[in-house]
Amino acid sequence: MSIQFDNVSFAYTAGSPLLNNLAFDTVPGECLLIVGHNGAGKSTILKLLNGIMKPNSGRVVVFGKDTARSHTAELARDVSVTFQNPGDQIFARTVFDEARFGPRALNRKNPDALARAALALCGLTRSEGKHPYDLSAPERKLLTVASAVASGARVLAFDEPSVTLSQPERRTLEHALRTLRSEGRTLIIVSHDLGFFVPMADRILVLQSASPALLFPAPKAATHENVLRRAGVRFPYADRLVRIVRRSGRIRHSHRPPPSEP
Amino acid sequence: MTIGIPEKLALTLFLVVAAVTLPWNISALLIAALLSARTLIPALRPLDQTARRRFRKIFFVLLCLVAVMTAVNSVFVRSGAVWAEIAGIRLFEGGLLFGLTTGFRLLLIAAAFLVLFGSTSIGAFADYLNHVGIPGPIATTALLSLHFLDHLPERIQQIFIAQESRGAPLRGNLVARIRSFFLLLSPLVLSSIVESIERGTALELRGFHLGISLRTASGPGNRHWSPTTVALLAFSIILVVYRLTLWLIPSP
Amino acid sequence: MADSISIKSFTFRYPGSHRNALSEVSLEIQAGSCCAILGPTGAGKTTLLQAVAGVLGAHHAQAAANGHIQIGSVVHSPLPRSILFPRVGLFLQDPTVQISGIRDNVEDEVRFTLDNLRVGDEEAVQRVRIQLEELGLGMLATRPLSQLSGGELQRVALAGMLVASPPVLLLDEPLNSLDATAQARLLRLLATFRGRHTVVLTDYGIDAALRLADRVVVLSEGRVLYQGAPAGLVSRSEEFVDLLPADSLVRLSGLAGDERIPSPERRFFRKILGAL
Repeated sequence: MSIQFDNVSFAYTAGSPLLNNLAFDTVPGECLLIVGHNGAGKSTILKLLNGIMKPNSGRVVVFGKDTARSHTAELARDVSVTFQNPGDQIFARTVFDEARFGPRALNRKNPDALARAALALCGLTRSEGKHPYDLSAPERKLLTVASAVASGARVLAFDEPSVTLSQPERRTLEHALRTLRSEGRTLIIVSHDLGFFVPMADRILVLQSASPALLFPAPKAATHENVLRRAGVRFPYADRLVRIVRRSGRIRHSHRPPPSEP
Repeated sequence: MTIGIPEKLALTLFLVVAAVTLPWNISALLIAALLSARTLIPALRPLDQTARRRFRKIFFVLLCLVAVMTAVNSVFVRSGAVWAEIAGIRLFEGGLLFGLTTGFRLLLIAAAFLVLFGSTSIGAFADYLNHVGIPGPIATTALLSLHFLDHLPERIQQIFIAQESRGAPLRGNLVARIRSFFLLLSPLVLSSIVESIERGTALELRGFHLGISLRTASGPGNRHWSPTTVALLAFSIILVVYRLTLWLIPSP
Repeated sequence: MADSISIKSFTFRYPGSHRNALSEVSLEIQAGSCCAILGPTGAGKTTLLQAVAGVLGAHHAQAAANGHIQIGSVVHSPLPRSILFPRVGLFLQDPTVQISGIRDNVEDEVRFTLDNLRVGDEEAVQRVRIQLEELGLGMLATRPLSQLSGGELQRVALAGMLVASPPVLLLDEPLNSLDATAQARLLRLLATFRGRHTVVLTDYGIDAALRLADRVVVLSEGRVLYQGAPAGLVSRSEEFVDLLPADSLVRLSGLAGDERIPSPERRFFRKILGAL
C-alpha cells in the first residue's frame, strides 16, 4: 500500500467542491489510469499526491508520510510527478544534464548511471549530448519521462504523457512504461488516451463531477463504456470497429513486439 | 475630453520630460496630481485588481528607496550648508537636494509608466499600433513582449510546481533560493522563445501583418490628434527647449 | 468556392540541413475534398502544410526548393513566397498559441481576423455571429477567453480562421491534444465542410483518415509512400506497420480478410472502410 487517499475532499474555491471523500489505495507495482472530464479533478489529484496542494479534509499518505505535514521536495524522493508541459521544466544545456538533475538533487547513488539508463529506456541515448531544444517536441516530452525515471522514485505519476507524441515515440513510451512496471515501479497516469493506456493499465479510476469516483479493473473497461463516455473518454474508432465485429466471430489478433533499441 | 492611447502616450512623454527638466518640488506636485488623476479619471484607472496591487507594491517600494537614497545622499554628499543634525550625524543641504531631485525624478517616471501600462490592455495597444501603421515586426515584438509580461506570474508558478515536483530544492535558505533562480529562469526563457516564434507565426497566419500594411488613414478623423494630445506634446517640447536654453545660455 | 491543390515534384531543404525535408512530393487534392496526410514525426507533414500556406517561403527565403505548388489556378514555383492568408488558412497544433492574446472575449477574438482584413463593422459582426453558431459557440460569444476549456479554445481558434472563409483549410495535427469526444466533434464538423472548403489535415494515426478522408497520403522521411483511398491503406497495412499505430491497423486488416467472421458483419465493416 504505497499511496493512500483517505477520504480526501478538496475545493479550489469554497462552495464548489472538486473532490468529495475520495478514498483509494494504490497497489505497489500497479499501473493506475485516472480518467475524467477536464475540470473533474484529475490534475488536482496529482498535485495532492506530492503535497503541492493539501487536502481540505482527509489525508493523503505517501509511504507513511502525511502530505499535509511534508514538503514536496521530501515527497519527491518517493513520488515523482511529471506535468504536461515539458517547457515548464527543461532547463539544462544537454539532454544528459537534464536527466541527471533529478537523481543528483535527490542524492541518489550513481546519478550518472541512473540518467543513462533512463535515457536509454526512452530512446534518447543518441541525443545525450544535444541541447534539449534541438530535439523535436515529442522527444522533449520523452525527455521529461526519462527525467522522472532517472529520479529513482518508486511511484511515477504523469499528466497526459502520450499527448503530442507521434508514432515512433508512442511505441517507445509503451515499451518504457511496460518495462517500468515489470521492474516493480508504481505508475499513476492521468490521460484521456484510452486506446493507448487501457491495454497496460491494471485499474481505472473514473472521476465524475457530481458523482463518487469509480474504480474498476482495466480488463473490465469495455463493459464500463457508458460510464467512460459520460466521463468524456472513448476508445479509438478503430478499436470500436473491431469490437463491433468481435461480437459475432473470432478475430485474428496479431501482436507485434516493440522494436529493439538501435 | 477623451483620453485614448495617443493622449496617454503624450501624457507619459510629458511627465518624463517634466521629471527630467523641472525641479524636485514640481515633480512631487506632478506625482500627487497623477495619483489623484489615477483615481478620478476613468481612462487612467487600473484595469483590474492585479494592476492595482502591482502599482501599490511597486510605488511603495520605490518610495522607500527614494527615502533611503535621500537620507544616504544627505549624509555623504557634503556640499552646501548643514541642513540639520540628528543624533550627531550631520545632514547637508546639497546632498539632500541631490537625493530629492534624483529620487522624485525616478518616482515620477516610474509612476507615469505604471499608470500607462496599468490602465491599458494589450488589446488596446495592439489596435493602436495597427491603426498608426507601425511596421509589422515591431508591432508583433511589442505585443509578444506585453503578452509575456502579462502571463509572467502564472508561468513562473507553473515552472515552480513542475521543478519542485521533480525534486528541485527550491525552498530553504538563501543559497538554495539563489540556485533555484536558474531552475526557474532557464525554462522560462527557453520555452518563451519557442512560444513567441509560434505565436508570431500564428498572428501572421491571421493576417496581422497584412492589417498593418494595408491600413492607411481609415475612418473619420483618425489621423488627427486631439487637442489634449497636441497640448501635452507642445508642453513637452516647450520644457525641452526651455531646459536646453538654460543649459546653453550661461546665467549672468 | 473551394480550391484544388496540385503539388508536383516538390523538394525542399531547410537552410543548413543535410537532407531534404521533402523529396519529389507529388500530390493531387480535389477541390472540396478532404485529404489526410499521415506519417511519423519528422516525415515532413508540417513542412508540407507550411509550404502550401506560404509560411515556409516567407520565413526561409534562401532555402533550396524545387517543383511547384498550384492552388486553384495560381501556380507558385517552386513555392508560395508569402503567407497566402486569407485564401489558405493554416491551423496550428497548439490552440493556445493561436489565440491572439490581445482580445478579451470570444467574439472579439474571432473578429480580430476580420479587422486585419479591414472588413467593415456591420459585415464583420454578421460574419462572426454566423461563424460562432456554426461551431456551437453562440452561447459563449461574450465569455472571456480565460474562462474557456481547451476544447472550447480550439473551437474559438478555428472560428477565428474559418471566419475569413478560406477556400483551402490546412490543419496540423488538430486531434493530438484533444480528448475523444472533442476529436469526434471536430471530425464531424470537418465533414460538413465537404464541398465548401478543401480540407487537408495531418495526423500520426488512422482514426481521422478512416472516418473522414476521401484520400490518404502517407509520408515518411520526406517522401510519399502511399496516395489513395483509406481502404487501400488497410489492405496494405503490413508496409506501414512501423509508421502508423500498428495494432489497430493490423487488426482491421485482419478483420477485412477473416473468413470466420459472418458475411453481414464483414460486409458492414468493408462498407465502412469503403473497400469492396
